[in-house]
Amino acid sequence: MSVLDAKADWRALPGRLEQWLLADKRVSYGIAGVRIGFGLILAVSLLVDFRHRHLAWGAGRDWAQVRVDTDLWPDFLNGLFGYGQAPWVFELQYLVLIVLSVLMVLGYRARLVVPLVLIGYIGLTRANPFISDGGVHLFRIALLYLCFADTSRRWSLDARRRARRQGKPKQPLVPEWLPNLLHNAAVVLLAYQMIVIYIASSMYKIQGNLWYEGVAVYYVFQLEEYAAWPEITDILSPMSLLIGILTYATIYIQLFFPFLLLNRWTRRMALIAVTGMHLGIGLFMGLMHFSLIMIAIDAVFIRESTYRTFTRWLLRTAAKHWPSWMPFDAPKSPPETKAKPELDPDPVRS
Amino acid sequence: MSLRDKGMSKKPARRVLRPSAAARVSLALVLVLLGVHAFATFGRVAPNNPISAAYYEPVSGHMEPMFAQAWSIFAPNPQYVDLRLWVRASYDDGNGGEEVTEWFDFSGAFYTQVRHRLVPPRHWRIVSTLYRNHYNAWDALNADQKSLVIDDYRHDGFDELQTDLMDAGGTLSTVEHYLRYEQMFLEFATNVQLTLEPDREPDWIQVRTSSQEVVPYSQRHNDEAEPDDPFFREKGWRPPIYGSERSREVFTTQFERYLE
Repeated sequence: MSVLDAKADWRALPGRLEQWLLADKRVSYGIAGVRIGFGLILAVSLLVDFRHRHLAWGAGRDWAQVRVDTDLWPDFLNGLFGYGQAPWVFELQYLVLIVLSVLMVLGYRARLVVPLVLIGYIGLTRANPFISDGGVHLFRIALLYLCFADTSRRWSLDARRRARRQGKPKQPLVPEWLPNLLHNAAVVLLAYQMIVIYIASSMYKIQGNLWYEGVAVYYVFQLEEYAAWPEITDILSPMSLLIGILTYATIYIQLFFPFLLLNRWTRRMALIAVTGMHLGIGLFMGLMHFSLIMIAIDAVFIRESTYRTFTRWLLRTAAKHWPSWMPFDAPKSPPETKAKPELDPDPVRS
Repeated sequence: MSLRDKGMSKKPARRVLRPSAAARVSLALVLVLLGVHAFATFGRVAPNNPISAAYYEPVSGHMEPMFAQAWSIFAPNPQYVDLRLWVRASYDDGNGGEEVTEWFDFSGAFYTQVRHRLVPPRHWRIVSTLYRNHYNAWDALNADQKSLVIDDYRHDGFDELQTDLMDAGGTLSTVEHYLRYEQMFLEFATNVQLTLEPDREPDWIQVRTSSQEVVPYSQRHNDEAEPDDPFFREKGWRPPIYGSERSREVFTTQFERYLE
């Protein structure tokens, strides 16, 4: 269901908006994709940082404590990855955060796990503000929004547990529209946050002469700080045409992103283009953490029907090649008539 | 309140809801909150404009620290200088004289952490962020204060430097802000020096920063082109700043691996 439909009567827009926000939880696959993506990103980055954890987040970063002392976070967070704490407390907290990130991927008790991950992540990243960047900020903000969303309605252990319980539904504690409203508000905020990032980034860039002249990417490739693969960027740097295309494409993809979302085909193009852009930034500039976060949140812009088609294809392929690994039956063709509850559980739907 | 399915078509059932008054009031409230938050978010991250200037205080109060964000990376122009941090130390030579070490660039050891890795560890950013934050704090000082920080202050503590900086004008918050970053820089550099020479403690520490312009775009086809000489900003000699024993041990153990 789309609020903005080309054939829609515009006088009916308030009613459609009301239905979109209250009647059901929208973008449920996209939100599940963000949850899984975030869990994976956090788990992988904690594991990658594991060898460096003490210098990055532990006692080796004590020199930066004055920034923690003067930041605006509430004091109750001081106990997390805190200054002067016993080494075993730090190790325990670090391991717990890894476990929580894995539980987030699996969608186990997500209502509880997602807020815990948020608190743990704030505690960790606050410990060393010198590692902080746009990715850290965005991860925090998006995680807060996810606390209001039903992130485990799809592709999760929670969904499987709910499906098994379908014969004996629990009496809901709150009216059904309330969690729908909060979930959909979170979806809107995530989408809005991404649009703001793309628009604001391009507004800053169009002020600069190096972007205007189409050479900005060359300079980014030259910096030692971001030289993840200097052998490759050294080959790319003299390619004037490529540098010009990459520089202008970066600005225009960002600037036009929200407008390209309005049409089905341009949306596909825009999502493929921004994903390519982020992978390029992640790979060639070493900013993979930030790039993967952006890609994960862009999952909310993909239509539900695309996810359903993808899920069915994935399950059929898995059932064909690895039948013994399948915890449940693969969907049969034609699959559109009704999703199997084990695969597409929806405890809210009556 | 009721929900009903509109039949079973090929698409999953579309549900229609007849909202109660409570649902509509809640919806209106959420829409207002979304609107305010959306306004604050855009006002915070957009380039400087009259709207964000007019609402700076309330917007900052709402956005910090949870929604803090800035999206001007590589803009308006991407950085075109390589940033480096350096340290050298002074030791008693045992004959009543002074032994001064060579300058050591400790940023390179962090930058190499990003090389040839699909998902690099994130601590490689520490030195460049320290450079930028320290630079911004230094840049807020006035010309007299900037010339003072070049002078040597071979005293225990930083009271004399703070007094002189205050006497040179400016606000207390600017001076305190600068001193915080200078001291973080010095503690970091002291840890580096202790890694380089673990068997002795320096009497004094000196730090400097350098920025070096990369080969310009116009010279991209010239294989002989070299970057310009780096531009250095030195500080005077200062007392080393030691963290806790565990902090030093953790830092030096880890940093030693980066030097291998």
